[in-house]
Amino acid sequence: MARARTLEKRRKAIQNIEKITRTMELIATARFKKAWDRTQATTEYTLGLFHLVRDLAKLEPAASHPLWTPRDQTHRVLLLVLSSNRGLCGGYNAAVVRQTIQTLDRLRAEGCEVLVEVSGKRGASALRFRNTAIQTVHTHLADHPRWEQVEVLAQRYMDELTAGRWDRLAVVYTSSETVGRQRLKTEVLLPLPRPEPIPGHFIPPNAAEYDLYPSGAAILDDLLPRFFKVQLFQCFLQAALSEQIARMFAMKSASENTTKMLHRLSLAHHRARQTQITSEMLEVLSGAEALQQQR
Amino acid sequence: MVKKSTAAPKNPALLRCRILTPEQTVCDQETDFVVVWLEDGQLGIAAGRKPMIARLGVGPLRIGRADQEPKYYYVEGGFVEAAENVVTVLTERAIAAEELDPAAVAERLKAAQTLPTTTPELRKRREQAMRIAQAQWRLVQARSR
Repeated sequence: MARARTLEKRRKAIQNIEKITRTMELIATARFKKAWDRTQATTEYTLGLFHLVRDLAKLEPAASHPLWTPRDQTHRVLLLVLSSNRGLCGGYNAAVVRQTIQTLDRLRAEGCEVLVEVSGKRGASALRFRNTAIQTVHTHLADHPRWEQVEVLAQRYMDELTAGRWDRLAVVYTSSETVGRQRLKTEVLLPLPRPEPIPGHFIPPNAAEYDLYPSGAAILDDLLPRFFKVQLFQCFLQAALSEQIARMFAMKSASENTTKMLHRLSLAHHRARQTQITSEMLEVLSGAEALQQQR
Repeated sequence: MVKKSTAAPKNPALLRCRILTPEQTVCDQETDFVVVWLEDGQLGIAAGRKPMIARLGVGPLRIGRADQEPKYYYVEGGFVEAAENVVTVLTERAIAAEELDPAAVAERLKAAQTLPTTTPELRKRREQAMRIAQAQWRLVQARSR
């Protein structure tokens, strides 16, 4: 019964794994729903701020602010990589790491010095394995990014930029516009890019027709830091959302695969059992035959 | 993505007022008058106003005319943009007046009053805390009357 029994054991093991993957899929779905709602809630605010910045950029073309003055030369770049703390989410982390390596190579070819900060244990260990020097690893932001925590980080980045520690902040993360479509992005957040009006979508306001209290420059002073903070927050939310979507799909296909494997294994098990019974019967029969001939 | 319309109301005498925070959309309704609290005083916005952008102070925001059961919100800084009969308030914190807990607000006011003022840094922090507590206190008082 050796072969049939091993097959039976494997079948049981796979049944257990299926239970786990199904549960993980359910959990990921519930977390995805929460992350989705949070992202949606912030989107309105982000869009509102974006429109304000866009309008003011048009109204105050001469305004200068340390956060959005483009640097003549970029010597040092801070690269923030958003990955996940936990695995079992398909190719999510691998894709982020691949994108990071490519960006690193490109930036180094341009002659920049690159500092790397990583959020999420998985990305950090994968990058370390590839001999990338990492400045800081954040492990508290990947699963459930909170506004207060991201705000602290954003404040530090703004201070470091104004102090001249580096000249550009780029973020590598996965964004999900819809459930079915994830896209890897490398976005430059600092210095803030001046929003370009999209032709046909928006009529630029006329400065003479706008009232500004207390003044355009004063509003911008206050607005730009907030805009950067909320943009960074949005990146973290998108990354967390994409992680849950990736895990949901990975677990879904794992569960589907176990169903297929169970089917194949039970066929093989039946066949093995049948063969064993047949051979045993043959043994008994041939034994009986031999005894009869002896008499 | 969000495809909510930001269109102005069909009636040209009405305004659309939206209060947005990073966590949620606190309010989105039609009204004929909005009063916002700027850093140096109040500003009323009616339909057909010249477009404007302003920085908000810490204080109440009123939706509706004073004699027609207006709705009050506590708004903690941020910005307001009024253009084409849509008033958009962007702030990090906005609370409807009826959701403010009078006991907690009184507590906060007392805590702010007892903050130390020994250094300029601390004095500044106390001023900010006082501004917030007083604005909430005034709203709570106005409601209980």
